[in-house]
Amino acid sequence: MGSPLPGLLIAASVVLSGLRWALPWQAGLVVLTLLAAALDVEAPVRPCLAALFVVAGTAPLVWGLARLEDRPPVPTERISGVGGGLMLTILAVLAVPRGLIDAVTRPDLIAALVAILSGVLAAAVRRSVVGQCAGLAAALNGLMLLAGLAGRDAVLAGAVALQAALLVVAFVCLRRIAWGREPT
Amino acid sequence: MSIPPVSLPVLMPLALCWPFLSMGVLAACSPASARAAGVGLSAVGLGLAALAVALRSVWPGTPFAVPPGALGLLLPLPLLALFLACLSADMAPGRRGTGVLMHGLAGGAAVATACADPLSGAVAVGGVAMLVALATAVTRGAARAGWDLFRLSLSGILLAVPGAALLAASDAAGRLEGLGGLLLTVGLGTVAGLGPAAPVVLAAGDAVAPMALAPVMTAIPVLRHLAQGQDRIGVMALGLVTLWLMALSIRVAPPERRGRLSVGLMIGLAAVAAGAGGGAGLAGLVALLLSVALMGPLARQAGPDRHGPWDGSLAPLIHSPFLPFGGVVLTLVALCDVAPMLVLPMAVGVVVGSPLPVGGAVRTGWLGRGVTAMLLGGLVVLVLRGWR
Repeated sequence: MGSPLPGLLIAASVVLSGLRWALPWQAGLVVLTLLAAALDVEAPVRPCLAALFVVAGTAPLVWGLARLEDRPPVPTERISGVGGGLMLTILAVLAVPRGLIDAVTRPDLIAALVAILSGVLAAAVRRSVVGQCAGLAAALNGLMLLAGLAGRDAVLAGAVALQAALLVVAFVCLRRIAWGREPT
Repeated sequence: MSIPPVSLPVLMPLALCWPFLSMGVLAACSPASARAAGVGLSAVGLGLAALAVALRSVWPGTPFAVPPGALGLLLPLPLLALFLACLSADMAPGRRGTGVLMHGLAGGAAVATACADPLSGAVAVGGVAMLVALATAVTRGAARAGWDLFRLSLSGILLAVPGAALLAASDAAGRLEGLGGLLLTVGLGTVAGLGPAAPVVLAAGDAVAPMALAPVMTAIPVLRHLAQGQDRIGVMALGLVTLWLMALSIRVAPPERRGRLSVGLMIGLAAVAAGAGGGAGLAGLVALLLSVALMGPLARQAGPDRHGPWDGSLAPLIHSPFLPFGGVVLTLVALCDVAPMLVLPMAVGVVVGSPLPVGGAVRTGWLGRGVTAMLLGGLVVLVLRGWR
C-alpha cells in the first residue's frame, strides 16, 4: 500500500506520544489507517469494528483528561521519549522482514508496533499521571490497529476489554490523584 | 510402565470453574460462616485441581489442559496459595470482599496456567493482573499505588499480546519470531513483577490485602508460559535482574518487609530456572514456585506487630536445607549446563539476599511449622526424584 498514513502515524507516535492534546490526532491517524486497510482486504468488518472502538474509547478519555491539570514534559522526558521512540522505530524496521505477514503489509505492522512501543515508553518516562494515561491510550490505539489488521478476534476482544479498564481507572483513580485527594 | 490417562472430561472444567463458583457462594453466605466456607471451598478446589493433575485431565475442544511433564504440578499451586491464605486470614466482616476477590484471582491464575495457547494465556494472565490493579485502584486511599500497578500491568500486557500474536502468525519466522518472543518475555515479566517492575509490585503490595497474593498468582502462569517459550536468554536475564534487585532491597529493608522481598527473590530464581530449562531446570522451577505458593500467603503475616501463624523473616529459608534450597541447587545444576557464566552472579545474589535473622531465631506458629515440614518433605522428594 502506497499510503503515507503509516509513516505519519509512526512520526506522530514517536514525537507526540504522552501528550493529551496529541491523542485525538494519533487516534485519527489510526482510524484512517484502519479504514484504508479495510478497503484492501476481503473481510472489512474487523478493521471497521476496530476503528469504531478507537473512536469510542478515545473520545471520552480526551474529554476526561482535558479536565485534569497536566504538567508539560520536562526536557529529560522529551529527550527520553523521542530518542527512545526513534531507537524503537529503527529496531522495529530491522526486526520486521519484508513481505506480507498474514494480511498486514509491512508499513502497517511497523506503524502498529511503533505506536505500542512509543506509548508504553511514554507511560514509563512521563511523571505526570495525565501524560502516563495519554501514553497508555496511544499504545492501546496501536494494539487496536494490530488487532484490526492482523490479529484474531480474541486480540480485538482483549483490546476492547483493556480499553474499558483504562476508562474505568482513569475516571476513578486519576481524578482522585489529580484533584489532590491522594498523594501524587 | 506408564499409567494410561483416565478419560474424565468433566474434571478439568469443574476444577477451573470451581473458584469462580466459590466467589458466588462466598458472596451469598452469612458473615459468620464466611471464613469456614472460604476454607472449605478452597480445599475442595485444591482437591479437584490435584485430581485433574493426577489424571492428566483435558477440557475437550478448548486449549485448557494440564501442562506437560513436571510443569503440570504448577496447576494446583494458585489454589494451594489460596487455601493457605484462607487458613491464615483474619476474615473480619469488612474484609469479605477481599476474600471473594482472592478466590477469583486464584481461579484466573489456574485458568491462565492451564491454557496451552500462549496468546490466550497472555490475555488470561493480563486479566488476572488487571483485576488486582483495578481492585487496588478503586480502593479508597490507594489510588496512587493502584494507578502505578495498573500502568505496569497494562504496559506488560500491551507488550505481551502483540508478542504472542507475532509468534502465532503462521508465516512468522526468523527476526519476527525473535521480536515476538522478546516482547512476550518482557511483557509477561513486567506483568509478573520481574525485572525493573519488581519494586513497584512489591511496594503496591503494602496497600491492600489481595495485593499480597498478586505476585504469587501472576508469577505461576507467567513462568509456566515462559518456561516453554523460545527466548531462554531473555528469561534468564529477567530472573537475574529480579534476583539482584530483591537481594539489594532485602539488605536495607526493615525486618517486617523481608518476608515479602524473599518471595520476590524466589520468583526471580524461578525465572532463572525456567530460562535454563532441561530436567533440572524444570524441577527447580516447580520447587521454587511451590515454595512461593507455600510461603507467599504467610509472608504478609510477618512483622513485629503481627502475631499470626508465621512470624519473622523468610529470608533465612533460602539457606536452610528446605525446598527453596533444593530449588536453588537444581537451578545451579541447570545453569552449569546452559550458561556457566551466570552461576557466580546467581550464587552471590542468593548469598547477598539471605541475611541472618535479626534478633535471634525465627519463631514459627502452628501453620509455619506445618509449612516447614512440607518444605522438608519436598527436599526429600527432590533428592530422590528431582535430578532425573
